[in-house]
Amino acid sequence: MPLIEFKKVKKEYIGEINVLAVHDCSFTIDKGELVVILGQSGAGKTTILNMLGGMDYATSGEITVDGRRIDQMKKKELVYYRRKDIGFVFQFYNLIPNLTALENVELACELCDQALEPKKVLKQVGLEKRMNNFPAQLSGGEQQRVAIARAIAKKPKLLLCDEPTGALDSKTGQKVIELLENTCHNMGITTVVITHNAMIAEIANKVIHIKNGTVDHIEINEHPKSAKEIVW
Amino acid sequence: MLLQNTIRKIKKSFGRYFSLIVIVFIGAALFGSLQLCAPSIKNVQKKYYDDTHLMDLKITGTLGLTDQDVKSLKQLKSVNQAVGSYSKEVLDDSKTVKIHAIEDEINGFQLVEGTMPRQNDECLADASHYQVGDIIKITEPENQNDLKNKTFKVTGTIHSPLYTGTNYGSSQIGDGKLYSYLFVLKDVFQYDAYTEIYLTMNQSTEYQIYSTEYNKHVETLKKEIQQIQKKAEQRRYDELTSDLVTKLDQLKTLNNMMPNATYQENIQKLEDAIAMVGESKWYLLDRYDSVISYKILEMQYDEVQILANIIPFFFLVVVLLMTSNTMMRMITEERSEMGAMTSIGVSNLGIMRHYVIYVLTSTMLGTLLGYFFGSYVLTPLFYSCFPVEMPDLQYQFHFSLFFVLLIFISLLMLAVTIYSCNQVFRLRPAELLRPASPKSGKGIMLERISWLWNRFSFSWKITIRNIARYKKRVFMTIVGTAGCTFLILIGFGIQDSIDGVGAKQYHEILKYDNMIVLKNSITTISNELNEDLEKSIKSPLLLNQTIFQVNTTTDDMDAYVIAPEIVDHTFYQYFVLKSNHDHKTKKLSNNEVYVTTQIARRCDIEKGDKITLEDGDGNTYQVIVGDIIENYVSNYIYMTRELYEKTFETKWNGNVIVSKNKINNETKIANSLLDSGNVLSVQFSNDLLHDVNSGISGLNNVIFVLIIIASLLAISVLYNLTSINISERIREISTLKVLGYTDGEAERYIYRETIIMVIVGIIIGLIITPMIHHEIVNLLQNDETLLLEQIEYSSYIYASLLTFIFAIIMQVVTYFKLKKIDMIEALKSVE
Repeated sequence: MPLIEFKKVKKEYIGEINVLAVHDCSFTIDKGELVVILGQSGAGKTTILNMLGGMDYATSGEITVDGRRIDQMKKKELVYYRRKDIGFVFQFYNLIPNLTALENVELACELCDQALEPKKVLKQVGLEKRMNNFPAQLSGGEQQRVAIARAIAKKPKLLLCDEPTGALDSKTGQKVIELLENTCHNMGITTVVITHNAMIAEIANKVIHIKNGTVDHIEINEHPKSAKEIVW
Repeated sequence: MLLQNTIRKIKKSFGRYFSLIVIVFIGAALFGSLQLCAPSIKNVQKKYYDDTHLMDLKITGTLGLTDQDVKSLKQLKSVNQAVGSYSKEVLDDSKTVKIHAIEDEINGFQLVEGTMPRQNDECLADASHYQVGDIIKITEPENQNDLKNKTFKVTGTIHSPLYTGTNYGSSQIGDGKLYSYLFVLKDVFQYDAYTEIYLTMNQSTEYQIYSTEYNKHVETLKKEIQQIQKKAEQRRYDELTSDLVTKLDQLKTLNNMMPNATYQENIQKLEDAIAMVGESKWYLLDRYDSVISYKILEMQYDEVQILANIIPFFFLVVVLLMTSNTMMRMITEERSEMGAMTSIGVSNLGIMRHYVIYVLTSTMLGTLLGYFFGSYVLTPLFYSCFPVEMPDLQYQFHFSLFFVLLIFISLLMLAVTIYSCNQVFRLRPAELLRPASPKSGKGIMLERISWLWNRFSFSWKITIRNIARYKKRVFMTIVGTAGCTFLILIGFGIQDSIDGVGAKQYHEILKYDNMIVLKNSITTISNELNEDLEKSIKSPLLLNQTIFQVNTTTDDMDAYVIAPEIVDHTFYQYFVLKSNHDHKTKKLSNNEVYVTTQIARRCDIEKGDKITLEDGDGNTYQVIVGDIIENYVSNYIYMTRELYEKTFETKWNGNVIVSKNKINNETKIANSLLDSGNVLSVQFSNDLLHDVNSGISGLNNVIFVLIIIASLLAISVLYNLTSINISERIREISTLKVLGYTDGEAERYIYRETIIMVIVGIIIGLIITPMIHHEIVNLLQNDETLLLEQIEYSSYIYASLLTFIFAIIMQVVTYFKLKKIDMIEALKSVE
């Protein structure tokens, strides 16, 4: 049984003008997979990620994560779902500027009982020497690594990354991708990366192509490349 | 383009625009209404006086006044009108009522209901106590028959400008208190001479009441009158005695020719009759002396004006802080838009115009609305709080005040906007287009003390570091809350200072129940008098109470010298002489006097110094001050009988008696005492206490309104601060929510900071208030009344609680705002 199942998911924003963001969206993701959701900007990727991460509701359809129907969860349950099961990584890092790298990780760990030791996680992402620096004192790549450390320290079932390299140059971006790849394979955390960059897709076990708000096709990579091999 | 963009800005941030308007509105409303309060009410009073042709001066004469007097007064240069008229105190049941004659040209009134009387058995009556149709049966004092009619039907009710207050002063008959007044046709009186002459001055209406010009003019009028006074007094005396004197002369001549016992008896009778006529003397009474509340109102105008000059200043400071804070925030938020505009070549001035229009329209709108609200609603509200019976407030738009306020606020707002814009313009367009680098986190001093720092829990560390990080906002919040606490506490504090005075004076310092003024001075309470007194009072103490002028550093002040017959237990029971120095009660000595606080302050003297007393005839006397005694109402100089005789080189005699009530009914006591024939008047401490309280009730109500407005301001300030706090940290909060913080947990993350800042603000407010309160109280008190300087503990508690509750309410509002934050949107956008 797959870890994640999207079944005919539809998302419509109701307002002055109704916008159909996502429709007829169905796919599955297995445990431990590194999946890339690929598509042009405006195709509906982020909407899918938001629904998957419990930040937004689906208008119709079914979303199952680890056997639980998150499209039917109450708001409060979603908070705990995000807290326990999900790790987020954003394009703009979203670190708390007033906390050191270590404290940013600790902030997330405060929420979970079986969280990892924050210092160990930072060491794992290669920032043991920068632990006591504030975000403003770190480079973009370093900040993103803190963000990843913050996300995985909670030992989530699912790591969701929204354009994690979007604000980084290609060399730094590649390092970040490498880190994500390692986490997925070494820690066994199912990882979903959203991007418009087709090169990144080459490292994925599965690539879900999104076009005009729905799944265009799904591509299975029998032999995904290693992050070191890709260039953009 | 310019206008469209501005309108769009307003629409986009309507909450902010609206809160700017509200804050300016409150400031302008309070400032405008308080400033207008005293002048507007004074204008009503002035117009009332002009419309009713209120007298400027009243003359009474011990022997009555004649047409001849009126005629000679009319010839004086300053006199406009001189009207001979009548009045008389009578009893309506046991209550004293004063009956006046209706005059056409002078001392008119405001007809509240009904019609004018046409017959001698009809009257106009005080609208506060009588109704149209009432039948009033009056009785004249014994052996008097000056009125043709004793029963009157009320055909109309009126307000008279002679009685503007709620308290009508004292009377010579009945219980010593004037209860009400009536106006009847002049024909009802059957005196053979006028009891009074009312005068108005030339150009009297051209001078503002209470103004120096007006008072000077009255003095000129008095001087002119004094020049004919002696002659007129003599004339009246001669008029009354001429027949008697002629008869006496005849008799004397006859008696000289052939002495006769009958002649001698008649001569004696005539001589007695002439002596009975007594001295002929005029009294000149101006409005201060004869118009009820005239003096009290003047004092209240001064007091309200002092408040009007001080309090709005603090309001304006808070208002300016808040608006500038809002503008700064707005400009910071829109830096990328400003960058975009600069990059396409719009000049700095062109960009600034948007913000200037934004600020100026909101400020002007707020000022305009606030000013109108203040003068239309608040000023009449203050007016209704004044304890006076006067016509309704006529609304007047004071252009000058409005423009001063408008220009003042606008200029300040303009300065703030230009300053904030320039902060941004200093950066290059390319920098502007990038998001403002988030304020970098920094370690703080406290972290270096690791043994302490490590003891804090994680969330406390964050709180402390945040407080250290957003210094500007911390400053704003603390100043804002301190300001609000201050405004609320100062309101309560002034109320405390005022409220307690009467009770303090008449319950803790002067502890007798009544003061009896004797008709004739006596050296001791005779057995006969004691018998009379004992019917209604107990423990009488005979005193000499004489008014003197004390020469102070600036001008003279009135003070009563109190010298008891015997300094015994009863004296110390009635007069608590508590030293200002060591707060212990003092005993009188034969070498030194004790003076009350206000005398010492005004003369700038201390224990051991000398002060100079001046009597009515200009003789001066020096005494040594032994101590300074706590006192709040009037000024007293206490001395022993021995020192009195030594100082004034005259024999001591007593003219007043103070005592405790024996029975519970003060009207009965007064009647019993006045009936005895030895007593001129009786004053009850309860009435004095009530007078003190009602005299300041107007001010008290103004302050109550002030507290409410301060609370409103507190709410809007806290709302403003909270919403800025959220807007500045929306990304941070969204991040927390995405990480899985519940709404409550996210709220707690910023709420602890706010609460700490609010508490610090409240504490600072509580610390600074007493200092400023002290200054305000000093300004508010006058020669006659000292205010309490202490703010009650309960007021501290109320002020802190109110501010704290407002802060909590605003936290609740924040909670709902936090709930509504769209975390996805907040994290997606760069801005």
